[in-house]
Order: sequence, then structure tokens, then C-alpha cells
Amino acid sequence: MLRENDFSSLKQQMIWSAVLHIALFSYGIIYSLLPKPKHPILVAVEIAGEGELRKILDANSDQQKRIEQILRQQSEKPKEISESKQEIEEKKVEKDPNETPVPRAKKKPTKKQTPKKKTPKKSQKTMKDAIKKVSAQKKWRAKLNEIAKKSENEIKKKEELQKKIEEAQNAATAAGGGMGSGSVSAEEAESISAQIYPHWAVPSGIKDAENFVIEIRVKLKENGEVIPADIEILDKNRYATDYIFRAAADSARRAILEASPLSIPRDKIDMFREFTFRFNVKEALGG
Amino acid sequence: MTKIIFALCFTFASSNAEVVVEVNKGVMKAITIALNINDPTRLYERKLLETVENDLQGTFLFRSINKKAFMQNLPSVSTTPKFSLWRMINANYLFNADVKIQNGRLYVEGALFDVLSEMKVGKFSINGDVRDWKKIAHVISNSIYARITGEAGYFDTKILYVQLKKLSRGRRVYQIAMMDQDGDNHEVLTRGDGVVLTPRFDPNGQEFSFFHYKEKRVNGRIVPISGSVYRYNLRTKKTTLLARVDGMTYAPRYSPDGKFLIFSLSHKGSSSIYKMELSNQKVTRLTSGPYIDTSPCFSPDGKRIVFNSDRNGTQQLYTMNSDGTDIKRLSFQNGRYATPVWSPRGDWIAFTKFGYGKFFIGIIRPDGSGERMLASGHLVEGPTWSPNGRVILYSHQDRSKKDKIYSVDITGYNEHEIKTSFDAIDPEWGGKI
Repeated sequence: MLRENDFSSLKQQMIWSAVLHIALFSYGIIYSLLPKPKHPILVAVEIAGEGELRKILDANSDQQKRIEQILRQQSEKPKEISESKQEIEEKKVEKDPNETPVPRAKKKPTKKQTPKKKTPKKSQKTMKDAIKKVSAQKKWRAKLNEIAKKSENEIKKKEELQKKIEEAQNAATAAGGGMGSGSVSAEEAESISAQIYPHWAVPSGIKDAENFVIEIRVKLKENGEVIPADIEILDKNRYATDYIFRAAADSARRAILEASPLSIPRDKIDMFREFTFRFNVKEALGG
Repeated sequence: MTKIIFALCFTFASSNAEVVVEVNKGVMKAITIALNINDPTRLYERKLLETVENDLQGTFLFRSINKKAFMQNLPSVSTTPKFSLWRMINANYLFNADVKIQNGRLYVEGALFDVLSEMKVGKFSINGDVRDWKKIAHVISNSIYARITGEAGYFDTKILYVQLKKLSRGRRVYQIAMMDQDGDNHEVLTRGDGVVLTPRFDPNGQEFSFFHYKEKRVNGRIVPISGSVYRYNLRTKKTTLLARVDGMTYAPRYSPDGKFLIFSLSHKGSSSIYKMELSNQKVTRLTSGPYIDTSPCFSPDGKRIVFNSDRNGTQQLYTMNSDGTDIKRLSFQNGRYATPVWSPRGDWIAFTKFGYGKFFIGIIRPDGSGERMLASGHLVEGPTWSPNGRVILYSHQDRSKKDKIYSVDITGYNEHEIKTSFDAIDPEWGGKI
């Protein structure tokens, strides 16, 4: 929309030039003053598991601001970001081996794309346009809050669905026998043991230590932390009377406390709230 | 501290209700301990701390944490530690003690804490003459060591050995010397005429026996003339004749009850083991035959004796009852076995072995199982046990022909030299400071 024909004098041209410069600078200043995303939410969503994502979404306004920023970036480059978003959505779907493909997941990118299409692309050439843009951004924010809420709901629904699938699977495993006895697999037990052994200073060189088997019962918190007061060395009598056994049991207890908090397979947290360690000195010494 | 991983991990799933996680693998790592001593006079703080630190770290089982890393001040033994601050600096244990000096006596009150379990696990109260501050420090080390490892400490013990001065023209001076187990407080006990060998503590640690013979030049050659077994009283510092026996006697050792001495006596090309009752000098022969039986040593319960013999062709280890009956062969591998010594704990027998062109210090169980080598070298021989049966000292000669005393842990680790001013051979561990 060229209006150069209307500019008859140099003076007028200069005025308009000044106005345009001011408009551009003010837009730039406004843009730079707006809070920038520290961690683009797309990246966070990719790395975090759904549980963590829930925690992220629970943290109010920061999160919404992040969603705004990224979606604003998307509006400037709609094609690229929608494609990458699709990839990310697909990745999310792929990540869950237990989950059967949910048709809803595929719909997501299209839903989120429509508001983008609605946002008006306005020319920044006039001062008015710049002012309109700023007010439009405010409107965007309101809309983006809606979108954030929607995505929260969708994620919650996804979680519920996943839980249902897991329960169904567990029921199937329990019914069908699963691996071993069906409660804890060898790999799971080994993953716990592997966290302990780098901390266990095996009592070597003490008399008859080779025949020691030390059983220790532990209680864990939700986060895998071992509760120190609840560590129980099962052979209390021997612990009180046999000083060599006590030294060996102490080394085992130290190993457990050093390894705490333990990483427990998420789906077996309940099984590992209370369990027993069995430290075998003979095996550890290669006997 | 090197971390060594032992066997392969093998875990298996549990059944139904109770989850059991097997831990069949571990590492070799030191127990970390933070040591804090409060001395208002500041005179003994550093000395005590240094001694305790050296004692504990010398075992390689412990590692002391640098005081500069401490995040909490503990001005008194009754101060409650903030365990999280000690856990942050990776301390497994914390020892805190107060020192008081009164009327020429040193009083130490200490407390030992298990940092990870957040509880007090030991309380110590030690006192003694101020001049014995080092012995007091060794007793502190013993207490900490005993509480944490479950075994008696040996930091207040002494080592006897033969000091060898190599002079010009091949002349040598042999003297019996004694030092603390950390190499301190060195003193020479015998004059140096003739040759002295095999000093051996009596079970009370109050005296030791040794073998002494004189040498004579005969036709240009130096030959030994019959020697005797002597006893040296550590309190009176007097040497008295223990036994004069016909023929050459070697390697006398006391019985655990201190009533008998066993040794080997060589006669016309063969050597047999004899037992002598100290109260009446009555001698009983235990082995016989055209063999070389030597180096006898009692088990800690006094019921069995281990010795080496060539009765089956090669020099191997044998055990028998204390009356000479029921001789059983102990070792069966290739090589020559010698100088067997029964551990004070009773669970191992240490020996010298010569095989494959090298010397070894090895250990074997009294039933013949578990044989393994702990140290090897150009010339290593003559093992002796620490009183708690965890550490072995032995003679070591390197290719430059210097004789030194070395120490090795029963696990084969922590092989290191015990420094002496002159050449040293024939170490014997025992006795209290």
C-alpha cells in the first residue's frame, strides 16, 4: 500500500520516516521488555515424563508465559513449528510402549493449529499497526491461558488412560503368571542391588566373615529414601554378641544409607516400600 | 583409594509377599573417619591426633578426613554433632574427644558416632602419665579400631628384630633390637658379639628367647660353634641362659601357656623337634627319623604344632599334636615350604615358600584349604603375625642386597616397608608397649 504519491514534500517524507522509525523502535523496545521464555516448553515436554509434566503444569503463571512465548514464536513461523510440534506429539506417543495408539493424540496438532490460523497477521508498517499488535498480544495471552488449560486436561486424560492400561496389564500379568513369580523380576531386583554394591565395603580378612549372610530390612519413603531409624538388622542377637558380625552388618547398613535415595521402578513402588536386603559376604569375596 | 570389584552379581526374584534383594558384590574401600580432639592447653592435641591418624590410616582400612573440611565445631565431647554436616563431607564415623591434664596425668574422654545412622556407638575414657601420651594415643586407636572392625587393635604393640650392620671386609654385627609397631622408640638390646637369630616373644610379652652362637675362624673359614638359647627379660634387661643343648638348636618358640619351649635340634645330618619344660629343663623328643624337621610353632590353643619337614622328599608343611602324635601333611603344592607360623586367631598358617625361582609369603588354612600368596620377591621369608592375626611382617631383601622389614595385610593389600636405620631381618611381633 504505497502512498508515496501523496508525499509531495521532503518535509512530509521526513516526518513519516521519523514516525516509522519511532514505531519500529517502540515495537522493538516493547518486544524486548516482554518476559522471555527461559526454558522453551517444547523442550521440557520432550524430556520430561508425564508425571513431571504434570508438576510443571501445576506451577501456574511461569508455565503459561512459557506457553505464550513459544506459541508466539510459532505464529511468526507457523509452518516450521507446527511440523516440529507434530513430531513432538508423535514422539510423545512413541515413548509409551504400554500405550495403545490413541486417536486423540493425532488430533492434537490440528486443534492447536487452528488458533494460530485465527491470529491476524498485521502489517507493522504504521504506528497504529504497532499499537494494535500490542493489544492483540494481550488478547493472545487470554487465549493461550485457555489453551494451556486445555492441554492440562488432555494430559490428565492421557494419564488416566495410561493408568487404566497399566492396571489392565498388571491384571493380565498376574493372571497369566508373567515373569518368574510375577511380583518382582530379576532385572528389577538387580537394579536395586546395583545401586548398593558400589557402596559396600566388604569386610575381608576378618575371621569367618566368609560365612556371614546379613539380612537387613528397610523401609522406604515415596521418593526412594531409606528411613535410617527403620533399618533393621534381622539377627539382633548375633548383632549384640558377635562383634565381628556387628562390624560386617554395620558395613552393610552404611552401604544402604550411602546409596539412599534408591531409584525404584516406578510401577513397583508399593512392592518396595518395605523389603529385605541379603548381603552375602562369601559370594562377594568370590567364595 | 583403589576400588576393586569382587565377584559377579547374581540376584534373583522373590516369591509372592516378601521382596528380597541379594547383594553379592562389593568393593574394597576405606572407612572414612573425622577425628577431633579438644585440648585447652594445645600441647597434646596435634601429637595425639597425628598418632591416631597414622595408626588408623596405616591399616589401609581407614581414611582420616582433613580437619579443614569440617563444617561444624565440636568444642566439647558432649556437643551433639549435626550429622548432616558430617555426612556432607563424606564422613562415615566421627570421633570427638576432650583432653585434660592434671597432676602430670593425661585424661582423655572420647565419643564415637556413626554419622550415617546418626547415633553414638562408643564411649571411651583413657588416662595415663603425661609422658606416655603416645601410648595413650595408641590405646585410642585400638578402641576406635576395635569398635568399628570388631577385632582387637594392635597399635600398642612392639616388634623385635635382628639389626644387621654390614661392615667392611664382610664383617657383620648382629644385634637384637625392638621398636613400636609404627617404627618409633627404637632401642638395641644386645651387645653384638656373635650371631643372634630368631628373637621370639613369650606369651606375656615380658621377655623373649633367642638363639645365639659364636663364630670362630678355622683354617681361614668362619665356622659356628655350638650356640645356646637365651632369654632376655624386658623389665630387668638381663640376659640369662635358657637352655644349653648338645648340637645346634634352631628357632625356639614358646607354647601359648608359656610353660614350654619347642625348637629343632640337629644332629648328624638330621634334625628333629624337641619340647622343653621351662620349669625343670626336661627335654622331650617329638619327632624322629632321618629327616630334617624344623621350625615348629604351636597353635594358639596349644593343642597342635605346625612344622616343616622333608620326610616325603620335598620340604613341606606338617601338623601334629603337641605330644608328637598324629602327624598330618598340610601342603601339597610344588615348591619348598618353610618357617610356618600359626596365626594368633587360629584360622591361618603363614609360611615362606620357594618356587618358580622366587620367594613367596603365603597363608594356608589349618585344614590345608585356601592356600594363597600374599607377597613375593627376590627374597622374602620369615613371616610373623600381628596379635590380632590381620597383618604379617616379613624379611625382604631386594636385589641390592639390602635387608628390610615389610608389612602386608592378610588380604594381600597394603604391602609397605617398616623403616629401620640399618638392615633388619627376622621380625617378631608381639608384646605390649
